[in-house]
Amino acid sequence: MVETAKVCDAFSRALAGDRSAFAELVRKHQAMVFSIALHSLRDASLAEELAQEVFLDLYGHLRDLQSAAHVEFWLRKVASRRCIDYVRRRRRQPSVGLEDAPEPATGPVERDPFLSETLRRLTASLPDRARMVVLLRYREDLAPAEIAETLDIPLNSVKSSLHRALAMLREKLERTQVRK
Amino acid sequence: MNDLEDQLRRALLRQEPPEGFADRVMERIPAGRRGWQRNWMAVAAAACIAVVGGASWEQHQRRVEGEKAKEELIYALTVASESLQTTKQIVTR
Repeated sequence: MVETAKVCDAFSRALAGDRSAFAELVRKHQAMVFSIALHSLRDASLAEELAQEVFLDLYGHLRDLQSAAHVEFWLRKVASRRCIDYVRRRRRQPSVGLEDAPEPATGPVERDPFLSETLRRLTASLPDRARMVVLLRYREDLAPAEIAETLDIPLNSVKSSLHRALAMLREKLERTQVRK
Repeated sequence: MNDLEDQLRRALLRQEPPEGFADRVMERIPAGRRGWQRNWMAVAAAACIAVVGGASWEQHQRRVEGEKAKEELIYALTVASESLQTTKQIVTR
């Protein structure tokens, strides 16, 4: 409750031109934007660059947004779409892997680091849209309808992408485990 | 819940960006007024200039037309006066 009030206050002050309030908004949402970029691109430096650009874009579009909640929705949408566009533009192997990314500051301890890394790698290998649908569903915990709104695609496409992505991941995971 | 979905939630952890991320973003934002505010001010200033300039131009045009009408009236009166003088001379003779 207090946190929400603080974010709303930061949004209002940022809208009035307060730079330190905008920096507060950046700090509040940086992990969300960076995580989407990192899990999508699997390159820490590219993820940071893309995340910075998303926030610079936010700075220019702040007056178009109505509330602090709208800021979060907008950031998630722009980060997701930029990641998809980036991967489509530059289909190349990542030069820096997740291993170079900083350790998570918060979050649950991974029970099986090997399985988690395999899943991150397999998720990153999914087709562009399917990968982003998986990230928004399991990283951002969005409902399919929210994912459809974020990516501006039909709900049925989200559901079918998710279904196919899970089937692909399950199959790839089984193959990986059989090989071990 | 599906086991794979559960594993995905654990694998796709939220990660903080490297230290100083927000500062680096702020360094890339030009100091002073925000871009859109600057643009808004420029648009407002241009609109003011256009309105004031337009009003002045209209006023100037009215003055020019007024002067022209005045000159035409004086000319017409002069012509009329000369005609009257000529007629008066003829009648007097």
